[in-house]
Amino acid sequence: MILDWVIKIVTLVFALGGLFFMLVAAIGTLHLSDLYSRMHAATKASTLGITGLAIAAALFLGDWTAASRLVLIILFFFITAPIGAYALAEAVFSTNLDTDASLKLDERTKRYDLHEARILCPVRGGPDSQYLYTKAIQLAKKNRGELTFLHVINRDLIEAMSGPAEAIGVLEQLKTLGESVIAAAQNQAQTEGVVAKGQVVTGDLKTEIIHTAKEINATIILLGYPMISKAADREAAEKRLWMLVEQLEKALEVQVQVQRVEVTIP
Amino acid sequence: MNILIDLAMGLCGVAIVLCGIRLYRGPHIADRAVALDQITIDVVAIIILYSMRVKSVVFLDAALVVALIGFLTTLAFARYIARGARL
Repeated sequence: MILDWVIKIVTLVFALGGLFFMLVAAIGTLHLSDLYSRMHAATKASTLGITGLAIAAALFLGDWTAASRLVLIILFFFITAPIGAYALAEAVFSTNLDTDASLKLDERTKRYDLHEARILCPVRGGPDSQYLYTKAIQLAKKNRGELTFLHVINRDLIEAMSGPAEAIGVLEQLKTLGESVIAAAQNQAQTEGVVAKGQVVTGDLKTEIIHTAKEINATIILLGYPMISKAADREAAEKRLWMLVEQLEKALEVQVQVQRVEVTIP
Repeated sequence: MNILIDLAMGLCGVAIVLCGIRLYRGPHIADRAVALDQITIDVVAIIILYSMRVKSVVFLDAALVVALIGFLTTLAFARYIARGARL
């Protein structure tokens, strides 16, 4: 008599625990902000939920055939849930570049969505830029992100080359040129269904990138890789580029992607 | 006791609906795979509860089969994400 009651109460406790975890898993799957957290909620909680329910059922049915099958179900879930979650997470992690950037953002702002990348893409103009902004548009499209193109005119260089008197006129010229580069990029973005903002600024490349990235709170900066045929120039350019990447990452805590563009000029 | 089991099955139904919303929303295909896996697990739970309801052992085999299918689905999704539509 007393044993009966004890078994009933234990059954109820296990069933309630199992149901609780099932519901928590469902709420977690719906509510948590990113894929990995959702996966964590779904697999952990539902394994526990099934275990609770299966133990309750085994006690309730009170028969060895039932118990053996339920033990089998529990074992099965304890083996397969981690394997399934691992396979899925590994597949996503190995294919999706953007999760990394988002995880970095997570440390800083404590909240993020995997699919809201803010991409800053400095374009220089020229044949390699076209490949760069095509890549940026694809990235923005894939992540439903915001895209900002930036064109920086190096004032110091212009002034050094032309003297301060002519510099204003040259700068004006270069500004219209930069605007047309950005307009071309924006046009292509529009045909792809991506809304892109554009800015032309005058100043130092690094400072302006950092400034704009802070302004739009960028999560990804996409840099182009200049294709230079002369080996010595190329090495120097590469060195400058990686220095820039390092400085940007240090200043912004943002992922900087370098897009190696391969241009074949006929 | 029957009413309690019915209630529990209802709650599992609620869990399925919640996962269904995630399945609908996505946004990544992996989110949908997770939601689908979760729904399969909820179905297993409902089958276990049903076998409690009718006090029968035979449905537990069905639960095992559904669990197996859910696992294979997840693996197939993972493979699809990693490799695309190639087999």
